[in-house]
Order: sequence, then C-alpha cells, then structure tokens
Amino acid sequence: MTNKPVQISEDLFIKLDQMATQRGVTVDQLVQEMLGDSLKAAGAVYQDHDEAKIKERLKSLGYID
Amino acid sequence: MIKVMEHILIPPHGNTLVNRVLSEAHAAEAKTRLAGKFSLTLDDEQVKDVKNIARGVLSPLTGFMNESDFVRVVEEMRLADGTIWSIPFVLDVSEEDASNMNTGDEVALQDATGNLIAVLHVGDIYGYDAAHVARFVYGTDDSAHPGVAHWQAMKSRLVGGLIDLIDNTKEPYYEVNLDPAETRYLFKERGWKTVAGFQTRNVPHRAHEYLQRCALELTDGLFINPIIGKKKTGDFQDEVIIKAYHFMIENFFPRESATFSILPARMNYAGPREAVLHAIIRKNFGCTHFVVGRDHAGVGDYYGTYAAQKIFEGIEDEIGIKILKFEHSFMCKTCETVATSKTCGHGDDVRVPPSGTKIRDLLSAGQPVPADIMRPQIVEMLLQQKSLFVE
Repeated sequence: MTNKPVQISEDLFIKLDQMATQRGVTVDQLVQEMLGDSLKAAGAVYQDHDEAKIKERLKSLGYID
Repeated sequence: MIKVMEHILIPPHGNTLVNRVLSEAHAAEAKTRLAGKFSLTLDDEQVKDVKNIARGVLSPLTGFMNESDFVRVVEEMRLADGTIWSIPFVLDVSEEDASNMNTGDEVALQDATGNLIAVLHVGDIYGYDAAHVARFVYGTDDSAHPGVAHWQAMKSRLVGGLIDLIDNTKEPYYEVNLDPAETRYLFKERGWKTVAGFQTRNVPHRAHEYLQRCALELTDGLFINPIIGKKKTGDFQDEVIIKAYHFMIENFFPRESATFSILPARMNYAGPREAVLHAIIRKNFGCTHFVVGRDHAGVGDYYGTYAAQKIFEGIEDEIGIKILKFEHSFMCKTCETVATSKTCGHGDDVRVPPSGTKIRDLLSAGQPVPADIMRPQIVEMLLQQKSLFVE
C-alpha cells in the first residue's frame, strides 16, 4: 500500500477544509477517513498474502526485476 | 494547489481481497482430517471456480453461494449484502449426495482423478428452478443457449459454504497464471496508477490490437487477461493463445506498460451479465479500467448489440471500475488503418472485419492470414506451431 501526495484544486480544498473543520479534524485526516475502507482493503492485500513470496515468484517469472 | 493523500490501488470488489488458500501446514492437517470423510467429485470447471474463489479472483466470494446470495444474485444482480454481483457461483449435487451432508459439516472436494482440492464447510443446501435462473441470468430459457443448457443439465440441489483451498497448483501454465495479489503487486512495482484490463479468448488480430492500444493510450498499463479453459472444437488451443500473446508483448508493446496473465475460468456466455462479472474480476486483479466491446461474452443472437455496454449504465460507479466501451473495429482499406464506425466514414465495401472463421480456415489450410487482418509476424509464428486448434 503506497500513499502518494496528490495535487487538488483550491476549490476542492476549501470544501474539504470546511468539512474537516466541522468535524474537528485535519484535511488529511478527513481524506483518510473518507478513504478508510479503501485504504484498509488495499492494505489487506498484503496483510493476507505473503508479500515476500509474491515478490519472489514475480521475480523468478521475470515479471519484475 | 494543495497536496492531500491519494491511494493508488483500486480496492478489490467488496473491499476485501479474499485469500482462502491454506498454508502447507494447514493443508496437511486438513488432508489428515478429511481422510475417509464424505467427498464430492468436481469437474474441471468446478475446480476452476474453487481455485478462483480461494485466490481472490472472485472477491468478495469466500465460497459457493448460500441461498440468500444465490436468490438475490439471480433476481437483482446483487449479493445478499447489496454488493453488485451478476453470475451465481454454485455447487450442484445430487439428492443422494445432499442427504449425506449437513450444515456445518466439512466435505472433501476432489477432482476427477481423486486429487483432494479443497475443504467445503457446508452452509445452505437448497433447491432451485433452472428456468427461473435462466430467464434472469441469461435472458432466455432456450436450451440452445449453452449457459441455459448447462443449468438444465445440473444436479437438483445446490450446496453453499466457505472453501479452504488445499491444492494450489497452477499447472500447466504456472508461469503465466498470476493471482490478484500478484498482479496488484506487479502493478504497484511498475508504478501503474491506472490499468486497462483486456478480456480475450483468441490469438491477437489487428482489431484486438487496436482496442488494446486505444486502452493503453488512456491508462498507465495494459493487462491482457485471456480466459483459458473448456473449449469447443475449432477453438484455438490454450497454449497457442499464450504463445501468441507472449510474442505480441515481447515484440510490439512496450514491456514496461503491458503485461499478460491467463485466467483459468468457465465461460457462461451470459452476455451483459458476464461483462459485469468480467469487469469485477479485472477490478480484483487491480485494473482501474476494463474494455467492453459490442456483444461481449455473448453467443448467438440472444443479446442486443449494445447490451453488454448498456448494462453498466447506473452501476459503473458503484462497481468502481471505468468501462471503456468500443465499437467493432476493422481495417479500412481507404483509411489504411484499423478503425471503428465512430472513426471511419467509409462503407462496408472497404472495411475488412476480423472474421474468426476466415482466420481459422486459412490457418487450418496452412495459408497466411492477410496482413490487414493479422500481423504477418503473428501469422508466421502461428504457422510454425504443430497444432493450432482443438480437435
């Protein structure tokens, strides 16, 4: 699971900031909360599957270096 | 501009990537526990269902459907919890076998050779009306439809329940048979934020390639994912499809933006409903986009020209994968390129459609397929194969 910063417009930020303020959280916390299920699910891919084994197999098959 | 968080992996369908594959130690325990217990023998297509469920290909399914999921999927195209799901995944058993099982039992699932495949934790045991299923899922109860015929030939009872996979072998095409967890890792490693999934059952011709390139123009990566499995006489052999796509990716696509893995799975020929299933499966593999042409997964004249595309109206956002809808593509002799009716203004007299029958007839006779239908290099590679078609 990788999180990368993404650029958003001032307009969207203002809307998110208003929502975050109402809920007493930061914008990042709000986005995390909104994506909560998605983030958890994406992370679960590697919690329930052995990442090292996956990497080793893909390497051995030539899919990744 | 402001920076906030972005997650780069599309969540699996239902938000959980299922993994019901037992570790070696647990598989050994299960084998011991199941020795001498009641068992069911599965056909090859059912074995594929079991493996696909366990490996997360069919997430969020964790086993064969219990009655509440089954009924709602058939009638409303949703699982009991409301998640969109289009095709029932069920295990049919005889009355006699059903009488040997009770809810809560562990039953051994074995293949036709007697090899132990999985444990079924028996859930609901229930009946069904094949004609009712056929009308909802296939839109017809005509027994000439292969999907309808399949349901009509099924045993009289269904058994649902969780699956634990014991035999996780991926032969005979281990090297090109990736699980969703593996493709997701692969996409992440390659830094693809958007990935177009491409469903096929054939060797690549120019029209396929056109759609693949169009999809790749819109996304970071292309994931070609042919369904491998039960064939009818005259179909390309699985090995030939695999070799052809290897050749295509090695020689024509940028390796850093295209990849390939097979999907051993049954074909239901359910047209629009199957297009939805195919999109969900590719979402589970980590695709953000999915190519749907006209008459996707159809058979005969059972479905309208655009039915497989129209079915996504109103549910595409809920499924969460972007559907790339394409018209039939063809080589236009006047345009001197592959095009669709959307991009070419000429008549049928100058359009060369990729006729599967023509391709098959020419290759069967050892003759080259015209270059405007299939790349000469692909044709040459195919003509070098000892055998191309299922006999």
